[in-house]
Amino acid sequence: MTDRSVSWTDADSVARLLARATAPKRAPKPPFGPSSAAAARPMPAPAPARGSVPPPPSVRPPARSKSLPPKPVPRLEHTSDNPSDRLDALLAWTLDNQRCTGAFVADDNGLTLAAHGISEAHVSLVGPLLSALVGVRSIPGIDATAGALWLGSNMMSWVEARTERGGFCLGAVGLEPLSTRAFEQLKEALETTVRGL
Amino acid sequence: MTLSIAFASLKGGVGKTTTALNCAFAFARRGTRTLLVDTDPQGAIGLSLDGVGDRPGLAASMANGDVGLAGVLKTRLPELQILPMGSVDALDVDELSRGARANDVLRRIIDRSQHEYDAVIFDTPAGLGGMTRLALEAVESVIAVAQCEPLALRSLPRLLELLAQLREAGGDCSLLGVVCNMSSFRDPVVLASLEELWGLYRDRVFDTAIPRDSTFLQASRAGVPLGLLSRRPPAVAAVFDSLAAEIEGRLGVREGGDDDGPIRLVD
Repeated sequence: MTDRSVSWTDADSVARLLARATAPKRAPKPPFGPSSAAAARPMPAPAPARGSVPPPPSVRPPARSKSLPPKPVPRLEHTSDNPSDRLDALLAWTLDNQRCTGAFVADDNGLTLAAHGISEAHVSLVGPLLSALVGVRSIPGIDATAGALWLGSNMMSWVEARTERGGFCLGAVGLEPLSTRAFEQLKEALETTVRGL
Repeated sequence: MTLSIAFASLKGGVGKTTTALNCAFAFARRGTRTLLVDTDPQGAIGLSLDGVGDRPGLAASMANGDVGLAGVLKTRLPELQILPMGSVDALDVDELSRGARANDVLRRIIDRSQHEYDAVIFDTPAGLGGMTRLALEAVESVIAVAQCEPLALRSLPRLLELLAQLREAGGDCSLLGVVCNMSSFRDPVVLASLEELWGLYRDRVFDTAIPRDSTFLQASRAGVPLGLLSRRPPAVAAVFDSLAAEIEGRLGVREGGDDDGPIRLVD
């Protein structure tokens, strides 16, 4: 198993390239199709005379950033048997090592056990979301123990772990979706945290 | 104003020609007067369609000093016409792109299409030089075709880099989107590639993904677009209707979009 992504591509450099290669949305063109095939077409606006508009200042393309290998993520290890300490350590580890701005831990009833950096709205979403996944889990061949959901401009990702006392869910909220490798790391960290509780 | 769209990819074999051809067909089926132009010196469109490969096309026109639309072929669909490449000697491939650049052939094709067509679609050869670069310099919109596998994903930033450089040099082209080709949810590598594509390119990726389906081979064998494989088109042909609708939506050329909804049958 390798840490490298499938595409060997740095997300930040792709984001910069997309910004450079994508135009701001132009004014919509007139609709075409059967009804407009014979319709009169609007005259194009006259082009400005050459030299009437000062040339834009030369823009130096941003320096190419050297693509760095991903920082190795340390394994989460617990030194305390206190559940509260463990959950706090799990949240701190998640925020330090994953690309997220907030994290939470909930039980399988959707009760939030610990949270940091996420809004009340996201906390309140946890319960209905996990309830909705009960039905999904019953579908043969579907692994519903991890998932992700776009919420406006944020991406909520979560993993679940089962124990004798029931299920636990670790969620992370950030601007970007997590990688498959990050999901594996979150799952391992959650399992480490709830083991023996 | 006539739309100009190029389907491009650095990597070969990702399905550019199949996607361009079937998209052009879908556009035409939707009533859009479409010209499909083959810029591949190998004549990929001609190799894909029965009855087209032996026709003179763009290469012959250029050899005669004509950069017009003399080689355009009519099709069964009144709204779809094709300008094939025709036969190009392997030793003349470099000369072809040099001649096309010297005479600004592709841009002039777009200019001459303004009244006859609503959309000009360019199928490009693999790579980023020669005719591909000319097409990218001539069109307004570029659709990157990405096969759902690692190598295609790794090559995708190179296309973006070229587009960015062309734009910074004053070009008009911009990336309209990335279309996933040969997708499958059963293969873990394909699935991981899809995840990364969505993660990296996000809303630039078209919602419509073109599946890996044996029907494509059947259409290729018969030399027809998917929609003409039989009187009852195969179900997979519908993905190109969906993709064409998405392209139109992104270009803002067809009414609908967010307020799209049921349309009364009887007024």
